[in-house]
Amino acid sequence: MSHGASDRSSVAGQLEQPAGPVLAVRDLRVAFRTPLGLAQVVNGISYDVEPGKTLAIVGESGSGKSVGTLALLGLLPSGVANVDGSAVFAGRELIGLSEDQLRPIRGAGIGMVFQDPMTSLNPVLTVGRQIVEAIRAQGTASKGAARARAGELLAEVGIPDPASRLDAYPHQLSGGMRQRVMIAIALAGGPKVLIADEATTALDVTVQAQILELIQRLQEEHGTGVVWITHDLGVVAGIADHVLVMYAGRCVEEGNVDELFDRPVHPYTRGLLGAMPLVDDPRPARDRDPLATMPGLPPDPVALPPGCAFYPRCPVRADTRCADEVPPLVSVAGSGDAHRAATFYAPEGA
Amino acid sequence: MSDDAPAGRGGRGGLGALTEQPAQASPAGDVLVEASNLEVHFPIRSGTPLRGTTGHVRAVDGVDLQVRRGETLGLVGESGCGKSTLGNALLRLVEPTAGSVVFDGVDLTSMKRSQLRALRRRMAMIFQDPFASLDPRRTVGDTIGEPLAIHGLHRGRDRRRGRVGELMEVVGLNPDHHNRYPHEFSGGQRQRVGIARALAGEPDFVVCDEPIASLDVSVQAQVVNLLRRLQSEFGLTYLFVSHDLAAVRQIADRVAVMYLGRVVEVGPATSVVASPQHPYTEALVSAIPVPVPARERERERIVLHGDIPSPANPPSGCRFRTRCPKVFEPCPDHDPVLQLVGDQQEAACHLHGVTG
Amino acid sequence: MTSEPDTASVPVATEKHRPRWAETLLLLVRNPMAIASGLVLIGLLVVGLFGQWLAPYGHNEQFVGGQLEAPSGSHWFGTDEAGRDVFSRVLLGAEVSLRVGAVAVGISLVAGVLIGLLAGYYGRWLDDALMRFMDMLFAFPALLMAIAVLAILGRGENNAMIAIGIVYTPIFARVTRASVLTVREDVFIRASRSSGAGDARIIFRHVLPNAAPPIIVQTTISLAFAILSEAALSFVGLGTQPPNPSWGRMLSEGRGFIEHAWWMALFPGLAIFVTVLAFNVLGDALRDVLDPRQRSTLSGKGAR
Repeated sequence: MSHGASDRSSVAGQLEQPAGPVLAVRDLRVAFRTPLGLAQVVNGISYDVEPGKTLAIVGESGSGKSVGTLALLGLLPSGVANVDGSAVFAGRELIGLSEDQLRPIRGAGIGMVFQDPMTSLNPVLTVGRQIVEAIRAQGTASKGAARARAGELLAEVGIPDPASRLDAYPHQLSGGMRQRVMIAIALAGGPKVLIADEATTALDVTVQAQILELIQRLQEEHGTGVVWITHDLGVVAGIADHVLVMYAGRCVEEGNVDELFDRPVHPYTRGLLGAMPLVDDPRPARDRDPLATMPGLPPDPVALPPGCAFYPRCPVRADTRCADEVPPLVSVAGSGDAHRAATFYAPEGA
Repeated sequence: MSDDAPAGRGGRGGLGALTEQPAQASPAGDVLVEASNLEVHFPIRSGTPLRGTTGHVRAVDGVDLQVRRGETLGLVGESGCGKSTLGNALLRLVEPTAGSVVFDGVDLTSMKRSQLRALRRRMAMIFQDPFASLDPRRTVGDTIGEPLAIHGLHRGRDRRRGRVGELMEVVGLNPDHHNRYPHEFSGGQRQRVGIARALAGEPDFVVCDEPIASLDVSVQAQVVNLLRRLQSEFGLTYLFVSHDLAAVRQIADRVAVMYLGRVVEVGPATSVVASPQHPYTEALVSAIPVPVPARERERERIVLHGDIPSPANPPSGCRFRTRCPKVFEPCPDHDPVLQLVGDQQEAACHLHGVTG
Repeated sequence: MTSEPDTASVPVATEKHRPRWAETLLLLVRNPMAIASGLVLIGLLVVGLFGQWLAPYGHNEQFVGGQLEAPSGSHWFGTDEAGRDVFSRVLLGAEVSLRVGAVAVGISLVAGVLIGLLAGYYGRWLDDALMRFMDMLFAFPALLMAIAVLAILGRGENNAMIAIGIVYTPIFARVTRASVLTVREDVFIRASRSSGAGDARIIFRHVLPNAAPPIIVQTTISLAFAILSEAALSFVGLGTQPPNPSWGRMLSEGRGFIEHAWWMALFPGLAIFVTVLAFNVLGDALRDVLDPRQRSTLSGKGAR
């Protein structure tokens, strides 16, 4: 992939922002050593996280969307994963830092919320104790002060009667409440970046709506930069400012949320959007066309195809180079760098 | 981009008895399955050696529901609302504690187990998790052929194998893979195996229990398309249980919405989604994200507060009143019943006149 | 760590096909310890079956004046107090020990698996009744229990097999029940029932095959214990009766001469040791191979 161009153009769009990105990832690569060979799970992705903005990373299972962010915080099993590239957080390079150097950055700098609020919490400790531990891990707070702060945090994430909920065990809370506790823990250190990894996937839609509202409110209040990792394009449309679509460990398309949804260019993005049924399409089911589908499966990361990773499933195959050459991520004509795609194919009207 | 076009699957001519069924695609057909005042209560055991029960989880608590021949009835609701239990109870895969289920004129609830087993050929189920619903130690051919073996269909090794091959082709699998094991297939392919198994007995009625919930978006679309095609080819009747109203909208003719063990609204899918008549349905529809940024931004979301109450101890009167944004005086005292609120649309809400 | 790295769902559809049993065997053969123990057990089986032809002397053939001879070229393992060749008796004793082990474990396997299946599958009062009874049996020390059974049935090799079989039944019942309880809840069982399958089909086609791995492992471990138990029973004079050789009996007889003729006790003891070790090693290897997670690592499938 050609990444020289991508670095400059990503930054160029945000020149009027005085602060600049709080997290800048460049050409991140992650490979796992497996018995079958090297699995190239993330193959060079670059993005910026702006304060107060939401970057959505979209992809299906196996796309590398989760691994790429876990790698930033050194949360992948060392000795199995090879991480390459650069990730500058608040002026500091994260890749290559030791466990001890990373620990203060986790939580205080970058908070994380995971998919399953049941297993992310320790079932034998009260939620209060777990939040207090997260606060005290940041440094100086006394036990009493940390407990008071824990109560404040629970109130902030919208848990009713926070003082008594501090003594509750995780199993005594609903899934939505547990996810709020996870968010409280992630916020304990006052992070500049919050990474939400499929944070609402396991929740019901009405609870998801609550959590989305909560995150957006917290983001406005604290100016946190949010990285929202998901497979759900509906959620992305509602909360994201900038979207990055991943396939087989590469960014196949990225852009401003309106640009990307209104004028998707890459056949994979178009396929994903076409595969989603629309709840507000007024036609009865029997009058609707079948959903668009993509045949086949994503490639094996141990044996990536030489050309475009989407080539074997691609309905367009626009160019003779598709099979042999990885298409570079370049600006979509007329978008003025707000929208880039890695495809040799140019849809009509785009 | 569709790999599910009916043509080219090559199966139609060789479907055997499946094609003999009349393709009754009319959504306004007669009633095939009817549940009346159906209840499924699970005892909560205290865990002491004497095994006392300390209460009941009212998973399904008085449901009247009709599934018409040839239609797809979508059953939506959030986790814990009892939709899956209801789907299982309609096939008597869980035992109802009260009420009745009538399948094509026969009362399933009063039937002996042995009689019921013979009837199972005509009703099938597709499960949520394609990894757990296939026996890891049996080949997919064995799994698909099991209903044939149970009901003595297509006797003889070669005929049965031929039939399994046909079924695999119908669902878009390569028949040569019949002696492979489930772990050699992707999630979407496994779900196709589950669908082929469900079709093997040539059923009239198929309960699809969250059939796409554990699949990737692009694979979900394939499975929804496949289910739709199979329905029109074989005149199947579906109960499509799902938490995903957008997917339900893609396949269902009518929709029933469940909350805490009850059906709170039922009607044509178009009108239930476009003009919901129960505040819960309204909130549910408003919470579904749409992949169109402009529409998402201007949309008013109704964010429900609080959590779903425990089905072991539901609120008095209307069960939704603890979270309902439109709660008023009669709600705590009167338990609303379904009433007609429009052309074919029913809702259980006092806003349309106090009932119960 | 909760977020599932995406690599877990690497497509596997392209893998080459091999039947499950062949794959199991292949993985087993890759483990040198498993091969070694397998070879030892095959050797023992040959000795057990053909011992009377392999043995240089008859088991009761006495060499007058040749009592308590130390190991030599003509008597590899020496002779006992009656002037019998210890090597021949160890070879012939293999038959008795292995037969007792196999039959006793066969009894407990069939009885225990049946009880465990019924208790685990049907649950409720049947589970309570069967498993409380098993708990009662289990509460007795194993050897005491076997001695009590032999006190009722009378001494002798056949009764020893029955007694050992009864003693080991609760272990199989427990292992089977625990395994059945987890399998019973699997969705594919419900799927089979939804197609109209009856209990017999579900139990024997779905539950038992999926519940089998721990039972197989338990079998190899119990074989070792059964041989030890037979030795113990013979040691106290309740098992194999003289003058027939069994390893346990020989060990017990050799005890009295341990200071003068160490070979009388050492070689039968060594035979028991090697056999038990071989069964245990094979059991361990089988457990690894039959555990799906271990299996993936062993065969190099999947990144995690």
